[in-house]
Amino acid sequence: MVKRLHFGKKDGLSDNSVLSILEDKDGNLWFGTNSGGVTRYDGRTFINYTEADGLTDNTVYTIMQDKNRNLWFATMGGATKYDGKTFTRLALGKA
Amino acid sequence: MDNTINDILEDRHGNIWLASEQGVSKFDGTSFSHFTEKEGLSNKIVNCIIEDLLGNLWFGTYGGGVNKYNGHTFTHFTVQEGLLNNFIYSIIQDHEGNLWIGSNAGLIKYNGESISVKNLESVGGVSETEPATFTNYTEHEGLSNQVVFSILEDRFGNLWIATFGGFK
Repeated sequence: MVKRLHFGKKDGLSDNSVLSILEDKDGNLWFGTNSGGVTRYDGRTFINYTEADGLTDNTVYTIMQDKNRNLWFATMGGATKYDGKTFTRLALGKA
Repeated sequence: MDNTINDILEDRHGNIWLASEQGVSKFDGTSFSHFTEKEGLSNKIVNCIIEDLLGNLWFGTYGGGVNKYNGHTFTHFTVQEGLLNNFIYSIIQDHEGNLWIGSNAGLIKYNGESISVKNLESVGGVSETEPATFTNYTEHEGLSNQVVFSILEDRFGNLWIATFGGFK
């Protein structure tokens, strides 16, 4: 039997439109959404991070984790680096 | 200005590469270098980046096909060179070294890099004479839809193709 679970806004996800998923090196799942920023899921609870927390934009296309365990979020407004504590915005500025 | 970042890659040297609507930016931890059409990109809208087994970077552009960057120069693979379509969403390299390119008009397999990998592995300098070719897979070959957004090879060597019409 395949058990299917469905998670949406009612469960704590910031947005029902999800553009990207990453499992980080600690086993947490990160969901990049269309308009609600990113949501972290540790298997029990959902925590949302948005522009108010330091994301460059709430539309998150891709998530990557580098060798130093920083998370990188590719958004509509630039890149954001998250070291586990603080979000650093890296807007490309003048091309 | 559109600040959208479409993809992020960390290369083997620890540089962070950002694919954007304005070209490609390399972040070495301290400063940025930008690559646009002026520096040799075929198109400034870049949807995806991968690093191949030999350390080359491949950029999938929206309008300019695929660009290979060896650290010094860009090589363009466009419709002119035999590519099915110039609007690229996704690129992966499989375990044999073949590139799989997801485009607006179908999936493209490129064997040029698997030949390079085989040549590198061959002992005694025996080089392959197999030509580098593009093979196209469209709805005609069984693809559920010709718009290929994302590609994944699983641990068994199966390819998963995410399209605008479901997956196969």
